[in-house]
Amino acid sequence: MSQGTAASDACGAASSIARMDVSELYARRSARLRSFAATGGGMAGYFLFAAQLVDWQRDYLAQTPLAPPKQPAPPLLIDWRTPPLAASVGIADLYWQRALDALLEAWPRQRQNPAIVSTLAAVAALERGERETAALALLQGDIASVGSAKAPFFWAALSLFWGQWARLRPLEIQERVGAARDLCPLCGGAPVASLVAAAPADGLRYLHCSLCESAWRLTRAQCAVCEQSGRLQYWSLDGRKSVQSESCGDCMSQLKILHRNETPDIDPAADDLASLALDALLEEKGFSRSGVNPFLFPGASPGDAA
Amino acid sequence: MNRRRFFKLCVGGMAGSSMATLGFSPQAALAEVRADKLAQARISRNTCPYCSVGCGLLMYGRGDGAGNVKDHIFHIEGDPDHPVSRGALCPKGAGLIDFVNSKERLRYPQVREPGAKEWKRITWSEAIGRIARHMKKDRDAHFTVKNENGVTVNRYQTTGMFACTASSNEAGFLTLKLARSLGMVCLDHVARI
Repeated sequence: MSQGTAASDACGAASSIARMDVSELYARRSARLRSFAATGGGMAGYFLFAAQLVDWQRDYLAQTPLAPPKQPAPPLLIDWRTPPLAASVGIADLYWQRALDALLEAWPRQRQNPAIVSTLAAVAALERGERETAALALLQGDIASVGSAKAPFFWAALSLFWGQWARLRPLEIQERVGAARDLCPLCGGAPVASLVAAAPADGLRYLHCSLCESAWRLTRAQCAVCEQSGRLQYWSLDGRKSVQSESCGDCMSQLKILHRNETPDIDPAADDLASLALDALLEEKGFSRSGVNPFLFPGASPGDAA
Repeated sequence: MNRRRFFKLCVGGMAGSSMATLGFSPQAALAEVRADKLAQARISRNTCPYCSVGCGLLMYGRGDGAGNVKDHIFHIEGDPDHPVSRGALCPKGAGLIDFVNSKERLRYPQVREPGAKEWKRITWSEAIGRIARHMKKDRDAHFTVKNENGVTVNRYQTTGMFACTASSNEAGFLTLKLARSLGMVCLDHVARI
């Protein structure tokens, strides 16, 4: 796919899983977030905050990458049933804990709003064991256990680890017809959004993992949660063809669908954040988000129950 | 399988979301929402009607299904997930949208009487009745019960049937039943390329 690394088989069929380079992805995401910030508007400050998190991820990746396995490791088996890099497996790795320490250390304290400074202090006050418990709950969808303020910082460190972990070994993909594709086949994470690729995988749709930044293929015009196709609707805002929301009247969920053909530098996390208007307008129609944005977690509300 | 969690991000003015708890103002973000106008579309999968390749199509339609907006198709593209065509369409298939929305498109039965220059609109009932009468007259006149060797053949060879390629199995079955029950032996369809 357009993100660079999708392999093709001998017949030219695109791979069902794509793992684009994380460093390039961070660079593009940061640039995209800053371009949104530059247009001004009520969210400019928040785009800059998100860009700052991504820049930190990229810097830390460059300075302290996850060590590759010493011996050649066997391929990761992807059977679309049991994700090999599940939250419960990876959470004990200390890489993300050290990364989180480094993030707390590196984040500038001057000219920051007091809420961020106090959030950083609150994360710093947690023991490693507490952090592990909270992070595992967060990865399993329990945002309240961490709180919406701390969650983006935790997620930045966790995603930095999972993103590299998911790229250390080759994949052995066992295609399975009819397998559920609503969660990442590598790590079990929820998607941020789905992305319709440009050439060479022109028009194929991939779900982009919010945690390990891998992308896995899902048939177009099919709900990303319940796989129904009968009551789908595609919503867009005036003048923005590249970002749509795909809503499903069967399970009442919605997920953004981005078109790289229209906007080559589009990024799932950044463009999802920049299209909150769609979420707000669709919530009024009764649809809830199924996507997880690494920069914006909801507060506890009656609507967030599964 | 884990059941996916759904979120309502914007409910209650996004109070409690990361944006609010990290000290930013969600009100400013949500205020901009009101200026945007929402457009809606639907996508249907279909098969190109032209030839036997049977390329997959994604057809984009507008309309709310409730009659407030007239349903219409505004875009057609190749279905990239289709195992045969993988998103590709030939020039005929790529031009389907103009075929669907053509003003010249045949919408009702018409007849041009012998010697007449103009086409005349007729009802479906009239059209089917006329075709049946023509076929019966032709079949009564030319039906072959036995061949030159005296073997019973029951052939109706003076009229043929040209059928559609994008029909379902069921429609194909009925087409065949209709033609064969008349003794028709000349049967063909677009798929024979």
